[in-house]
Amino acid sequence: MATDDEFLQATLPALDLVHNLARRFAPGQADAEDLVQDTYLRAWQAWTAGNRPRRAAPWLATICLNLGRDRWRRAALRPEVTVEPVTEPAADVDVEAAAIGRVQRAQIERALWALSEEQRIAIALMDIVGFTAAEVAGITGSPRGTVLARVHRGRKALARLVAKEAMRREP
Amino acid sequence: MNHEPEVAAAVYLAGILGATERERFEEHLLACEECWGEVRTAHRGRALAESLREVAPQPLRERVRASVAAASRSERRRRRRPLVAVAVAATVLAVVAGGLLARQGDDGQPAVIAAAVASYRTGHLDGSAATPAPPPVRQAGDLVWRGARRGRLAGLPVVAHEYRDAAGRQVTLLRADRSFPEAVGANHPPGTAIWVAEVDGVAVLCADRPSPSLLVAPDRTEALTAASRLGLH
Repeated sequence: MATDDEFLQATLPALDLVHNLARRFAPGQADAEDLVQDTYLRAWQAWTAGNRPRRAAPWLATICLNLGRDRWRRAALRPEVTVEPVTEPAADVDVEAAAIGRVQRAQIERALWALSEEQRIAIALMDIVGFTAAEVAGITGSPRGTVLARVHRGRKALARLVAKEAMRREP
Repeated sequence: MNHEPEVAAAVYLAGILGATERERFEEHLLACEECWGEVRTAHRGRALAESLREVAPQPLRERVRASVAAASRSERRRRRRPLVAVAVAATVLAVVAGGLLARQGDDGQPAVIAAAVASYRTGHLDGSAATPAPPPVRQAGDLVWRGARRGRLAGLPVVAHEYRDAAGRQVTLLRADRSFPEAVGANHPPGTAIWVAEVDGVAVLCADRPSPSLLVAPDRTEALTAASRLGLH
């Protein structure tokens, strides 16, 4: 089997994962797809240099993360966020839950982009992509406790931001 | 025991509690409004995030396949070139009847050099583990030491020290117990014992003193400046 076939067989099952992660860096679909392609090409270069990771998914996620961060810092890309930060929890949780139930995907995306980069990446890696806290710690180079704190605070902020926007849009 | 609702809820939702601790916390949840609120809100946030999962578009799958196949073809052509050179050389040799020896060689880099460049580009180092190795220099000019890892480059044990300059550009200093192989296309700046080469779009600089070292930097100027700042010669 040609080396590129072996590479694709080992790495293509993680394409959804890399794409989901790239979408959290790139403000648009086209940018995300470019990032996915660059991640695979960078991984391919390493593969041809003899780098064969035991597990492809965390390896690809690490590459995507590094490339995405570089791109993010260089280009300062960020979609326009219209959600205001929330400092206080919403008062009436039942109303909040009902509003969240009717929320649109775009609202969740906007709220996610309103979080800090660290929280957004931790949530992307754990909740959207499905890594464990220990795996995220390995990928981001942060202690597991830090990862858990970022994810937890990010989740709470996300829930509150979405609820606030959903309730504001309802009559 | 300290009552820390945020920490307790984070650990509980991460699913890393043992069965007994989990049951105990769930019992506690029934009675503690604060912990219950933490778990409920974070659980809701998690469900919202999970709802964003999507399948990659099929054209993207095809695009990735095509780009890797194209990179593979280009790599094969690059590797075949020396063989063509050998064939041409052999023909010339036969015609000239043993006159001049034609230049021949593998234009691929030594595995250690290729692995160093790949590691620089991907951030991945085989067998990588944090090491308490102190930096040779913590800060020199605008270069700031960010950390060290121990790992292997094509089997060669190295300690990789990562530096960043003021612009955030990465310079990696790799130290080994023995000399690094010389890169193909390396040149030796006059009056020095170092060599510098451009490999795959980045600069690689090698020095044997004070210890066998390989620097990988975005470009030649950055590599020479960093070598001078780090005292390599």
